[in-house]
Amino acid sequence: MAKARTIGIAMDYSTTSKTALKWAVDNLIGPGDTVVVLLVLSPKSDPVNKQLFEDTGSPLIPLVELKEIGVCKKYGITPDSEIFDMLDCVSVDKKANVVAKVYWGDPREKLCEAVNHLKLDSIVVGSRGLGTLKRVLLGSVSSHVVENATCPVTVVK
Amino acid sequence: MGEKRIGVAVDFSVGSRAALQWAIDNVVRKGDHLILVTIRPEGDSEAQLWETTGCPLIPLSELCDAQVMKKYGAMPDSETLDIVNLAATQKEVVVVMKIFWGDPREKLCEAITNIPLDHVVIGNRGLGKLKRAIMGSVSNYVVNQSSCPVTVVKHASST
Repeated sequence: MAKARTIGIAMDYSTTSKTALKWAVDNLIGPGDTVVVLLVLSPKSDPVNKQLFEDTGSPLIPLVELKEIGVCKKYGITPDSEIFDMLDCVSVDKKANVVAKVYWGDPREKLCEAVNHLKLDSIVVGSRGLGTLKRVLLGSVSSHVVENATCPVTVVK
Repeated sequence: MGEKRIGVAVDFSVGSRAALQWAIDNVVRKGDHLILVTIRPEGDSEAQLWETTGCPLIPLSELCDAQVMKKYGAMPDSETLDIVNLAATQKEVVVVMKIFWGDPREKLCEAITNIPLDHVVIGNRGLGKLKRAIMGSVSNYVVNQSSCPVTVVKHASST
């Protein structure tokens, strides 16, 4: 595990995506790696940001900035202490770089695009999110990412 | 953090070698157990003896022994053996193989609960006759049904 890797974690605040983050922290991430927390927000929620950042998503937001209320509000991110705690832990204990990136649009497409744009070495997703259709085993977004992402995909239940 | 049991689904295809290499490079750490799980079709020589539980864990030293592997009806190719030998020495991991007989989909998922495995790494396409467009039927089934985290490693030529 010598080479520094860029690992994406899909986050939608659901239980499984937090489990996915925790799993990645415990099992995958090592010193020098870069963790990119990928948030895909609904385009309807934030028309201003959406227009501004529609194609490429927000710039990479370092962890330090992410914890500031002002920054969260600007991008429409819901601050979540559980997630911040885990990210702090990763940054300090594992000596990894932590950044976040926000996209607006369809999570299926945006997550797969993120893999290519950010040149992710690997992406971790939860198995089911917040979708209204409580799919039995594997959510539609996770399913789509597993099939279409060009890098190895880990699904955490 | 105690030692983990990481399973790699192996069918000796290029895809499964890619999965094995990825597992070794990314998740396997010193002291972990790397378990190669391979599923043979039913009706093989040893099938009746080990049908329900799969064969006992085969250590690395026996894996490299062609005569032993012939008895089980599973011949690992030399590339796979090279990859695991290197991992065993460089990363100090315990490498074993477990062979099951039956339907790969079911048996892989059973393996996860019975061994048990903390994590499974699988290629996206194997040796199936139907060259499914994106993801093979076994990989697809395991991702959906597995009770532990699953990583699907894409093989270069299929992207």
